[in-house]
Amino acid sequence: MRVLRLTARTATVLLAALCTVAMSAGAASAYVYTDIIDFNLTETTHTYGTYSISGVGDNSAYYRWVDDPAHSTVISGNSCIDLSLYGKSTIPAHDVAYHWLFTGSPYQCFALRGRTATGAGPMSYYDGRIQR
Amino acid sequence: MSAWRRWLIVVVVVVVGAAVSAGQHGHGAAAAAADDAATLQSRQLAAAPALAGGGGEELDGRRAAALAADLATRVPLPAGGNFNGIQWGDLDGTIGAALVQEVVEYNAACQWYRALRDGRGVADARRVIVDLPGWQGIRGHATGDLAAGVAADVAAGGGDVLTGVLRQCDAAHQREVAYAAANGKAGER
Repeated sequence: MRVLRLTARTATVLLAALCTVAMSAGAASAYVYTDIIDFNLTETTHTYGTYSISGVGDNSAYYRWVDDPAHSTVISGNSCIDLSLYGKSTIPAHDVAYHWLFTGSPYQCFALRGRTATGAGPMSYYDGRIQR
Repeated sequence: MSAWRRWLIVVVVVVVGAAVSAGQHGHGAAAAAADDAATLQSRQLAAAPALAGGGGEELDGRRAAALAADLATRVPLPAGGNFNGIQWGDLDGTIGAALVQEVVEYNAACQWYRALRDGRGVADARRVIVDLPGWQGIRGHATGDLAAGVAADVAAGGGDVLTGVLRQCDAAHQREVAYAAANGKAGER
């Protein structure tokens, strides 16, 4: 009987743990996505627009190229309040995976900025996507 | 009715009339005073036409700072506020003229949010915060959406957007004061 009670207790704990993991996984997979159309880059950093960290993701901002990028690029997020740099990522040519830019907090506003690598030349009319 | 009673009624009517008149005049003066420069500037920004598309001319940090200084004369701030903490001097590359205005206006928004939270110029802050989502530079952008969320939360007495935005405003305030000091300027209150 004691063994049975322990087993039931253990099962309850395991079930609760599984639920927690499932809920965490569900929360982590919920993001807001925004398409970035015609992000025209040169070797000089410039800004595409402003966005905010959603209240449903992992409080981070990520960027990926949807169009296969011909050049290595540097994508960054800066504060909408004082333009300080929150974070940036160098994305190699032909890499269309998401790249982490920075981790912040819900409703944090950032300006999406970007440039091509030094010596790479311009890259025009490429589409990307923000995960936030 | 005796003469003295008639005179008493006349005196009472005159005194009451004068008091009512003074009260109305005082109320009008108070309302006019409340409609101060900050409120008027805020309303002007909210009534200003939408900026032309395309983001405007690309400016380096020095030219962006010059444009921001010009815009600053039209953007209301709470007492003790300034724009000395925006990091134009550290800007890598260029920034569009429209975004310069958006940054200046959202910077001002943060100063109003902190003023309201800290109990400084509360009446002005409440009026400006209602206008903010419609200000010319932030209208239709992420900053405008956040300003609308904050205004709704302020009206409701609090909320997640207000809390989240204030957290960012406080963090930025610390950076701005340090940046201004490093450049020999006064930090915002």
